[in-house]
Amino acid sequence: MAGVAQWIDDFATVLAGNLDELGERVGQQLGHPSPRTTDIDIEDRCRAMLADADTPVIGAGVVLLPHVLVDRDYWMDWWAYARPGASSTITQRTYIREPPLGQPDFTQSSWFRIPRESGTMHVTGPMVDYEQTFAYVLTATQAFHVGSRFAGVVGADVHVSWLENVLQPMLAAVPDPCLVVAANGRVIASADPALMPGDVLRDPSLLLTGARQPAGSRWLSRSCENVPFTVVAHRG
Amino acid sequence: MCTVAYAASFRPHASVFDPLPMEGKANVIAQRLGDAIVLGQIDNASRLPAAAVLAEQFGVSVDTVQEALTTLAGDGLIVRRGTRVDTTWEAHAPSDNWSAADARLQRMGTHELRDLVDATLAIDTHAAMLCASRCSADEVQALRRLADVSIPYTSSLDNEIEFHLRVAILSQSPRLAVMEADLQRTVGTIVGTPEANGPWERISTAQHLDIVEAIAAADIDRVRHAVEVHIHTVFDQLFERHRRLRIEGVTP
Repeated sequence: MAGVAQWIDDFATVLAGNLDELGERVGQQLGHPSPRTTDIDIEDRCRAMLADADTPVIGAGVVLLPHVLVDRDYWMDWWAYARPGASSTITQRTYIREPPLGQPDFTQSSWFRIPRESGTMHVTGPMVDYEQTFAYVLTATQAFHVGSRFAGVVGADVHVSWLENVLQPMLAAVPDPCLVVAANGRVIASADPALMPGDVLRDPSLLLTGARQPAGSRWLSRSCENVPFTVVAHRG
Repeated sequence: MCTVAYAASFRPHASVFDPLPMEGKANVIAQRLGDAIVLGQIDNASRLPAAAVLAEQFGVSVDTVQEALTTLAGDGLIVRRGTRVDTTWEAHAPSDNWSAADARLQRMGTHELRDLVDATLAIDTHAAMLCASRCSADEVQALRRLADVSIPYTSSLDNEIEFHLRVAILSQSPRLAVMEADLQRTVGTIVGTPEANGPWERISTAQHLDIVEAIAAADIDRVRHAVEVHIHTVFDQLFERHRRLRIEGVTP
């Protein structure tokens, strides 16, 4: 279990490093009195992230806080594979979907709000990405700043099936049925046939680690340090 | 000889070997742009890029794009603006476009409408049942916020579409979400004015809330019942309007 948590932490560290670099670059590009959509130049960086075999992501880019740019109120510059499973066509998306009347906009979504408040990388999902490709993804987002002012988030989508492919052999090596769950209890990868990716663990005590587990619990768990994931195993 | 024997063994599905449709790419483009207009991804009344630009973007000929635009215009989802020399097309969302919805509904056969109910019931009930077993508390709360709104009539169609899409998304099944988007596209283009649909608009919010509370309670039987009641309410109005349109004709 420790090995699984360690691998996830290492993966998250590399991903956060990539996002740091992306955020710094956008922050610099927009660091003048009248920033415009055309100032953002991240295509080569995003393409490199999409091509990196060690941390494969299927989409990467930046989503701006509304009204930061002088030429567009709502803007994102996102580079993604055209379809899940596609490996060649990468397209740029700049459209942001406006919510129905009376509904909160994307700044209230957890992928935007939480990294803005916490200042650290946040992972949303697993979820069906219906703004873009209908792929099943985890979205990692991190705040970026222009000068000292929050200006939006940089982010990357990781395909759940890729992560599962990598994690499954490690989970299978753990003697007890073992799974990886996100902070909301949703299963990301599992060696337990009764629990599949997308299912939700309803017992919140399962996400408590070590000494905080209720006495006599048949569950073992171990939190990752860098992302709000927990590795859980069912004893005996 | 070999080819004949191979084809013969597939006799029940002989259409497998039919020539490929020539209009394939134009249909895909019409479908994609149409979805975006109905689902609100392209703003109502916004101008589409020029045909030449679209052709380059999609990697097809200008003729293919023109064919797609003709289909969309026929469906009333885009309207022509500008002069003969300098033509542009403007998105025409169904919520701003009731007479086109009437025309499309009237063209539909009763069995097509019934077929749409069958598919909607299958997909929406199952998506909501999965949603009930897989939703986190935060997600239920967000769904409740989406359902619990008093909205002006002009945006109620958007809200109806958004609600059903969101439930399908929360089922955690990308395939169901894609099917739901496809259904909403069809339903979205035939739903008419609030007046034409009678009490549906007023009770829709209450029914959405019933569905959310059943999901929150993780009560699968209640979820199924709440979704069935809602779908039947929506479609009963459509059947009634369909019948009236067939008898009285479309008012211009």
